Amino acid sequence: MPRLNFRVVGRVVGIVALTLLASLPFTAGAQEPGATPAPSGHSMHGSSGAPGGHMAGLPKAAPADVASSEAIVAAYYEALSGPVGKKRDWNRFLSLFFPGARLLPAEGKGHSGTMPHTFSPSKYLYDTESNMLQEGYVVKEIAHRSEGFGKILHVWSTYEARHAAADAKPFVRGINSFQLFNDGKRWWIFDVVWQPETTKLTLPAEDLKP
Amino acid sequence: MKLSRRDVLRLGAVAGAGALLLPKKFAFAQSSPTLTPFVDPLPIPPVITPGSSTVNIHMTQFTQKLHRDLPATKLWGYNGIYPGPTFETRTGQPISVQWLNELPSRHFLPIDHTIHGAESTVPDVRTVVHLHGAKVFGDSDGYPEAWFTNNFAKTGPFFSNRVYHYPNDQASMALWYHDHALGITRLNVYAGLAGMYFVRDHAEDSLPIPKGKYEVPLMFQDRFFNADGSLNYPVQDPGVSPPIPPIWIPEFFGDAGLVNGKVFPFLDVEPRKYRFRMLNACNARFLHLTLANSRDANETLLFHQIGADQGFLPKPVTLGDLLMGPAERYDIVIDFTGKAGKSFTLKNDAPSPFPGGGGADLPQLMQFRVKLPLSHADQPLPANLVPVPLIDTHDSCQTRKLLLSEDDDPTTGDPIEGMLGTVAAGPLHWSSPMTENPRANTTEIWELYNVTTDGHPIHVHLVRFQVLNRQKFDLNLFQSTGQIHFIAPPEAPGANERPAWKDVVKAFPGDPDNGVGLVTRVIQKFDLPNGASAPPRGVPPYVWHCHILEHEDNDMMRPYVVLP
Repeated sequence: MPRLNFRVVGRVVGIVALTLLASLPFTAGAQEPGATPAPSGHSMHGSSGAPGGHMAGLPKAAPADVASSEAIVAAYYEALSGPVGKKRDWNRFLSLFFPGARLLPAEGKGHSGTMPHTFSPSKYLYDTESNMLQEGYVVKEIAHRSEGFGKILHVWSTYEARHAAADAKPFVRGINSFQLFNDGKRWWIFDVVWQPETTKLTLPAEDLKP
Repeated sequence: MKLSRRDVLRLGAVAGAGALLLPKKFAFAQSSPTLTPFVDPLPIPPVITPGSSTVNIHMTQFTQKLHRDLPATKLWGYNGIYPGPTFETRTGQPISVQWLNELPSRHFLPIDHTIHGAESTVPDVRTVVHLHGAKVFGDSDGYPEAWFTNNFAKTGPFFSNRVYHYPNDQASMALWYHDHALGITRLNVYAGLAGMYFVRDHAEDSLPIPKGKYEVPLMFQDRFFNADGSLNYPVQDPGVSPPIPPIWIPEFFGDAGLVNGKVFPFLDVEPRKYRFRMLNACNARFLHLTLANSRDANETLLFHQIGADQGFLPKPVTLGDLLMGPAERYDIVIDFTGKAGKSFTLKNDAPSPFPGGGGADLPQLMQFRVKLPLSHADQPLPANLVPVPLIDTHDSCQTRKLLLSEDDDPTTGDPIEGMLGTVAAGPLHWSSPMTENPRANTTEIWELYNVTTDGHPIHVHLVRFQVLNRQKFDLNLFQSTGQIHFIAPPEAPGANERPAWKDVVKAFPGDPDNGVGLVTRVIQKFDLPNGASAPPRGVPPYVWHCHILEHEDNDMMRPYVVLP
């Protein structure tokens, strides 16, 4: 394959370098337009009802949210859950995740139609909050199993989501697979992979037992 | 009250009902019949040279053979051909065109009635023509809601006039015309509604570059075909029910490459230089092109780029490969001197979507066969072409921070719609109040902050712009706080992007998986035709949008107004 000579693909290839760069704050000079200082304390989209966070700096978890594996999973659902118009608690959601955590909707097809998008926690909430605000997304756990050893725990969590709590039926059910890590001080979510039911895939009975 | 898509589905008002009854051709789980490449000669669309009287162009349905081994394909086109005729015009010589919709009342491709502007309350078949890259007033720009139906029986809310006026107040360049009706542009263009439009001037006349039969338009598109020759435009796979939107797919990538409306054609050439007016008219596909000996991939030919979207470069730029975003035009000279008896394949290896990949590949487009005897002496390319003065950034009276974003489904993570907006206000809809309102004859810098995983070819109507640079920023910080924090110095554009006049810029993504976003900066002066200081009263505004047609159809487009 011929080498691509455009910068962006080199960028994709240079992930390691990027990561290093990302860790080194760069203060752009005045040599180029747009190199303006970042606004401080800007609360994104706050007045418009559009997605966006209110976080300033790295969020600190509420101790109760990360004290147990059950608590951190419950906090995950609570942070995502809400009726039409309810802005999500970005601080709470992001505080649950280990740095570099990933989210994978297994049934997604992405832009290509063949592979799901993967998300960082902030990208997932940023990209989906608008829909949750508009449609309502009330999600809860209905069954929970786990296996663990030492600092690691795998939670197999059955969920269902409604647009409004009063809806008679959920519009989607599925399995959230959580990989959790305990550093001795708290629990972290390292990744979440989820599989919703589809027209060809129904949850087995054992995953519906509370 | 504005109904959400899910409301519409719940109420069963989806005339999508009609669409839902269509045979399901789920996205991506399909392929065209095997089509032998390079068996059909490259067609050259006929030329139309308008005079002082209004030209009528008829949009009709017809069938046309697109490959030797395919039955004739049902198409829509201008003046009964696909692509439409190529306009030949001169700088400073205005023309008038009446675009006439003579199409059937039913669309033959799957409409998603949950898409904005494509609701079941509007006619299925509606058209409006945009001359891409033209400096025109809003009433001749093809505003997406200025649509009209067959015989102008029904018109959109912004329709004002049947005849469009093109002042040609522009230097020599390759424009193109295509449909732009709100919510169905991707389908109308896919059906065949596209053609090229050249403006010529004295500067071009004086350049010793290939002319006449040695200047060849190349319109690249990709399609899926059914075995009966019909076009196949896929719909959403309802794996997770109900898929939202139910029909629309985020991007189309076909496995059959067409050039000037023929699948994998060939062109016989002489052993000399040719000028190719390349247009990426694909719905969503970026093209990364190379030209290699069909029998020995190690022998490649170079591209000598002499022009970009909006005219000549100041000097030829020699490249081994080209990356063309949708709607970009590249003016390319290829030298076949000394290659008699050989054939060269135009190859593509751009990932689709770009740059993430995963979609259908399109590894080749056409073949050049150096088999004709040399009939005319060749000349070397000039060292200098046409000056491109750089716009002084100090002339900018405003810098706008604009957002390229998308709205995803929480269940699948899949795109529900693309979105544009501002960094301050966040993602905005087509129907949101206008936020971009430059004054006529002023200069502005637009910064395009891409927070998605996709590259987006961003097109601004009316203007030509210059690419300034691109710069990485901390995406996680932006998404969680709204703060812009740059994490690397600005990167200069490529030699074929600056100095150059453009009307589409590739707004690449950063590396979202690693928390990196990318801003692309352009500078542009909002000149109106013939030096006007204000648009005529009552004309529609302009638009800026992503030129991935599936994106622009589904909310990744915003109106903007030029103020007096």
